[in-house]
Amino acid sequence: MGTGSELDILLVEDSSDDVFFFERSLRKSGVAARLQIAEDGARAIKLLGNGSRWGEHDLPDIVFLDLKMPNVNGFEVLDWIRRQAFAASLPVFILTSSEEPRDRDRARQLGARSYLIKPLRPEELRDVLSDLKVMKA
Amino acid sequence: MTPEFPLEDQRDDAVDEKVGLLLVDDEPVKLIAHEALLAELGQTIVKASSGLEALQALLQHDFAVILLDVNMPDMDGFELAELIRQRPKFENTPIIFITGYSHSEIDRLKGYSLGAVDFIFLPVVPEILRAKVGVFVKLAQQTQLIKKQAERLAGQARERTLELELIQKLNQQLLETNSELEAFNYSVSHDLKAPLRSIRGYTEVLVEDYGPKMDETARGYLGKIERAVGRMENLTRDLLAYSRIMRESIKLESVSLGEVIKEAMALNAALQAPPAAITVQRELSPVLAEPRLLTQCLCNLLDNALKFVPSDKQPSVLLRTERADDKVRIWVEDNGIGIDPAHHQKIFGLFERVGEVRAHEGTGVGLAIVARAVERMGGCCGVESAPGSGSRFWIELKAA
Repeated sequence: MGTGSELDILLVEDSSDDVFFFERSLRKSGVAARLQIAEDGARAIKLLGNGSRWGEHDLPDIVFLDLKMPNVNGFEVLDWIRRQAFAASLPVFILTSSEEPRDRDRARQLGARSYLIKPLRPEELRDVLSDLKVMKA
Repeated sequence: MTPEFPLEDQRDDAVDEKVGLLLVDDEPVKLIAHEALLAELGQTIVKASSGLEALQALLQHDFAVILLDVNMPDMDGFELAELIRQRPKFENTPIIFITGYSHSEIDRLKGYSLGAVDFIFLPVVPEILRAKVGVFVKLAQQTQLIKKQAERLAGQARERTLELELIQKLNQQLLETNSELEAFNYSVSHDLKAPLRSIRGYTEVLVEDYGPKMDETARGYLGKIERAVGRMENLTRDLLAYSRIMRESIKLESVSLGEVIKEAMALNAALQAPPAAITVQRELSPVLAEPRLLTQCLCNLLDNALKFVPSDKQPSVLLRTERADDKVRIWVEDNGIGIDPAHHQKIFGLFERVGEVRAHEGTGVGLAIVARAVERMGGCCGVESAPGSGSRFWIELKAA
């Protein structure tokens, strides 16, 4: 867990444009947070699995996960997370442009906390993060 | 005769083909005499002066009838007939025995009760000989005709089978092409989303961060970009919805229309805002449907009902159901501009737009989605309308 009242956020996103929009929304939301970016699924697993700045059992407070990514996609990351004992309760929010019901269903089956459609507005992000902060406190 | 047999063909067949007649007699004079008697039948006559010659001739030709002299040295007519009958090919070939009045011969003749056997007493009466042989000639010709027609029918059946196989193959190819097109539509529509999101996002950034520094014209241009992006987003959204109808597996269930209408109105902001007056009939019949698809259909129909209304008129929509037997018709009736009956079929096609497109902006996909979704749910849809008198769209589904 991050220290103090700042939230540690991991954003798994291969599009630099979408990273830019997320950062902007986060800034405009006014929520104090530290943002770490993983540019694809493989990097996310590496970050979460070992040698990350969170340490072996020191995880982010929340993961925003894109679905469509090269090499290792979001579903695979989600599946991997759920199979790690130390990360099983990590809140994962899918952040995708896919409005396909089958993607939504699959994400739910794999244990995603929520399914959000891009772009995430500052207000939406604030709602999500403040809920989390209440739980953390 | 069926039309498959053109008259000309029939005539060809009717022109009796020559059949073979085998005359067997040890006396050359009688052979020649019988040949002369039978010549006017116009058939091919083969003569054999012994049983052996007859058997050789049978190896080379088909015969419609065999005339056997009973009284021959070495191998008499009956013995020869036995041998002929042993061959499967000739077991049904008609044989006419030519016999004298000797008792022994008549007794043995009685032994033959087979249909394909006849006899003629000596001396031969020309008319009787011709009549009896003629009967068998006619029989052979008709058998040949039937055989030919059967072959032709079999040939036609083979052709039909090949045609059918070809059609099935083409159908399969068409299905594959169709599903490739579906996949293409899905990929393109989906992949267009990301760049569109970037254009919209950066346009918003420009408006928010640099808007105050821009003049009116520049801000106007940004507004135009945003509206264009909006149209494109609607189009990709609708195309994805259109392709989703076929991609998703569906399960029909009993659906309460009140719920679906509420859901449809929640989905579309335009449906909540006044001044639209949407009236929903109090008692609605439940239908057998896929809730998501039906919601989409009603959302699109309501959207159209409000969209295609003259600007000086308050949109007014009535939603009601009509039950007939095991079907329920859902009506969405508006007071809009109406549609010329000439276009009623066309409007349910993809990208078909009629009337003043500029004034009433749509993607041209909305009604195609309705038609496809309703079809997927085993129902049908249509419209009753005329210019200036509103439109009454209907969806018919099985009653739940």
